[in-house]
Amino acid sequence: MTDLWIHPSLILILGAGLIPFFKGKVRKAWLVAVPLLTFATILGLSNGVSGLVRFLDWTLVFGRVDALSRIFCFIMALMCSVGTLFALHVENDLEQIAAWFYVAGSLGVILAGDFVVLFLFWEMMAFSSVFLVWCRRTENALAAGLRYLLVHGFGGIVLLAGIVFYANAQGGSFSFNLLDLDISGIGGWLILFGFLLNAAVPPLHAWLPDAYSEGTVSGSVFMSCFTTKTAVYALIRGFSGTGMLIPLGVIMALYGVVYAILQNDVRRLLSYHIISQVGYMVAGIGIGTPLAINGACALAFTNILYKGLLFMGVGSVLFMTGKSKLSELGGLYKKMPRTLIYTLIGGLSISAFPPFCGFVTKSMIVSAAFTEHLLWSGFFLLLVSTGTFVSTALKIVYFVWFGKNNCSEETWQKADEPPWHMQSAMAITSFLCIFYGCFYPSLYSMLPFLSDYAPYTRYHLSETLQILFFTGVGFFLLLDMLKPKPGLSFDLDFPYRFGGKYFLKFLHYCFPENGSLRRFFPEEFIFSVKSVSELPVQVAKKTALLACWLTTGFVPSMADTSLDRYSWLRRSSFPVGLGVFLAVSFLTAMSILYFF
Amino acid sequence: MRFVRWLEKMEKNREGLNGIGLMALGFLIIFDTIGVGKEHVHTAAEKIPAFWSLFGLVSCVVIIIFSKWLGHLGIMKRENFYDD
Repeated sequence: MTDLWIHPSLILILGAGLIPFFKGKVRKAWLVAVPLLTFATILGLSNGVSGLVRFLDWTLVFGRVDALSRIFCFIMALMCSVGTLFALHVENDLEQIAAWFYVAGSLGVILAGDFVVLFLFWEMMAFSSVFLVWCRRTENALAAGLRYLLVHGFGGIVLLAGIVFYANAQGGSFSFNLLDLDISGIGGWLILFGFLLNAAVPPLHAWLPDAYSEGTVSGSVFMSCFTTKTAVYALIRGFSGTGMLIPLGVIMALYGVVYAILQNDVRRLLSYHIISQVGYMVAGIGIGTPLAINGACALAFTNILYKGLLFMGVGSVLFMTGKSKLSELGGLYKKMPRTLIYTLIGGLSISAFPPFCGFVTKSMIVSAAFTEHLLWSGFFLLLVSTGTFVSTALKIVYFVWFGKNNCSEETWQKADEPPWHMQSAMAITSFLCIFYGCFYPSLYSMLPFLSDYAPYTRYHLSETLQILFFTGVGFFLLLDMLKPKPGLSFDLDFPYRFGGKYFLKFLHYCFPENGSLRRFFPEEFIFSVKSVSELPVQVAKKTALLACWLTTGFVPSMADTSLDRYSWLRRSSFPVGLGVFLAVSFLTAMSILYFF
Repeated sequence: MRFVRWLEKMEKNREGLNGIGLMALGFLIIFDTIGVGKEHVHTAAEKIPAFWSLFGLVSCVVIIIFSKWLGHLGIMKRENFYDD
């Protein structure tokens, strides 16, 4: 280091390392103090480049501070403080450690000045956040965590390949600035792919609702805030003004909202809304004008607040009652009125109701679309906002706290307000949602471009209130259609959920026991595919299971006793191996194409 | 808690709530027709009085019916669909 510059991530990492040494009240004080110290360090950051480290032939940049990185760091550290307060009851040290490493990864990516540092922290995020899923200690969580790792492992490999190709094309420079896809070649496209996967752009999105709905109560609060918004930051930094992001963003916004309406599990519903909301940001990044980029930053900022608040609200219900499905809840306003108020504030904020924070941010992107004469995009984004209001503010609040009481006697007995620290975390976030909605100049002054956007005009107020109130009319007219029913939506994760099963069917079809093809593709061929696939599977699976066991103490019953010839295909691990096999094949093919 | 008692009262008095809701809708339409300048709008459609009311209602209905239709097409599965 060239000076006494302290990386905010370092505070969190060191702080996390010391958690196991504290007990009782000291531990709680430590859990509150370290994120606040990180936040204070971020407030004290001055613009410029710091944290330069010589490594081999490179000078790595750990601290690039400008308006863009500053606003993202600010909200990440703020949310880390609130999220840790919400998770104060968690006795499992490793869950707390994983959460702080995860935030440290996010801050590291935001402050990274080059791709090497970015990749380092990018992977740190993926590998630490998976523990937030595994710490739930259920079979479903273990499986969802493995799928999460598989997808992010694949995304990470593609990103790394992109970085190598890109740096090669740039004459060995790893610096992370705006990329031009026309001249950056395949490297730029692969980097974009890696970023889009973390931003959960369909069809690369299915990991998000899968993992976030299975995470721990507080783990999902963290996850809802960091991965996608860090990817939004990376997209702003690297791909502002890339036109193809506009349709992608609009499709994403629509996709998320349509799927959200179908959900029965509240955390899954909110996960689809993350996809929808990030769609606005991706569209804003594609538009690329100062107003749109400001809008993307401001929306990411407020989205972290209200999405965190919503996950806290429904997380409190899950924490107290053990239920997160709408078809098993209802009428809770008598038991959890405060949680109702906080969740309602989150719901009204995400729906852009004045004077909550969504009102002053979401419209910036819509306005930027109309100003650039992207009328279809503008209208579609407004259409999405009606769906957002229907499923978050109306559907969740109505069917959890009002509506028909579907609670079992046990659920009803358990239902009560959550502990004080959870309520405090929700109260602080609710306050911030209202504060930034009313005193928006304090948010606008942090944006990367000078903003003269005025949200509280008569026209904007009239437009928003009309849309929202008449959406409410539509909701109550179609209430019968929206009644919660048990069920699961089928999404684009089937290639890696069913890959093994269909591959098995395919092999049976191609190589029947006495078929003639058997002569051309003898057993050795089939088992050579097996051995290539099995090796990484076994390594990955055993490492993952060991890590899961070490952290959570959870031992899943995955023993496979079937002894027939194709049993290896039926095991849940096969899709992981196939994924790794395909990723390696893909990269080999890309390398061959590139070098020859 | 006073808030809960208030909510209980509201739940019993649904007709009153509906009345207040209808008045609010009426006010919004009147406000949009006479109280809002529309010189800087981006499309001609936005000049129609209460355009956004219609937009909100139609969008909401379309998005709910479209989602449910997709669900019936085969997206919605039973809860243990992935466990088999």
